[in-house]
Amino acid sequence: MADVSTFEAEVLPQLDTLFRVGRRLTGETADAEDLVQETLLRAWRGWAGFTQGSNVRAWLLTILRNTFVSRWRSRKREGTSISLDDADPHAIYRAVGSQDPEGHFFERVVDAQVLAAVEELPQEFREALVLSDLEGLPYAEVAQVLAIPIGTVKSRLFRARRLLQHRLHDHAVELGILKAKP
Amino acid sequence: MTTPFDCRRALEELQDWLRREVTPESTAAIAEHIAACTPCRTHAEFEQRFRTVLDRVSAQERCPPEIRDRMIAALRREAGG
Repeated sequence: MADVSTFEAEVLPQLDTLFRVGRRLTGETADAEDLVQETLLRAWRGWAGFTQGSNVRAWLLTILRNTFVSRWRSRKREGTSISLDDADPHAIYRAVGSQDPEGHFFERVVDAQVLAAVEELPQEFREALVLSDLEGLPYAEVAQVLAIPIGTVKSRLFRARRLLQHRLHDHAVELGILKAKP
Repeated sequence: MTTPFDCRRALEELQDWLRREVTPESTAAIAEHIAACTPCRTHAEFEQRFRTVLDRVSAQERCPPEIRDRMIAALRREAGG
């Protein structure tokens, strides 16, 4: 039987990361607790298969993400669809235009609204953005966790960031920080 | 020797550049383009502010202690059982 204290020494330093990613994926603190709990138990059962010295964060996040996909995704409503002008990926930058060309409005949108906007993203964009841009995983590690090529990671991130910028722009308009597009 | 970037290509790679996820050749070429191109430099500032917001909200939240304690207790039950 493996020693649980060795497991804990490797895994528990990643608990905050797992909890935050779980929180962003499920949208709920209680669901995040269930998801991370399930992840830890699965990780413990699979601990013999973990290669010591390899990337424990990527290993745990892969388990967490797979658990989410198999157990939670079907229960969670998908993010509302947003029309995105594919022909002009810089539409928000242009929409803001001379009002705020350097994007100062981003600084005035409060954290809770930013996180709510992240949670509204469709899952495939949300998971890429959370891992890369909120948790700071290198693209190669995001690709490993999501089991997709790096090129796909980059294209999902490109779309995710644009979608999020749209949301934050709309919040800024609602708050009166920016004027609505004519 | 780096290939000069046009605005379209510089903007396509801007976010990856800010994340330091482009090749060294592209890093130099984008930096060179942005230094010389005022519209792209403004756009880079816009994207940098967006990045700063993501950095601000990231990695602040901690797993609440009571949740942490429950998880560790459940793990030890599983490990001992």
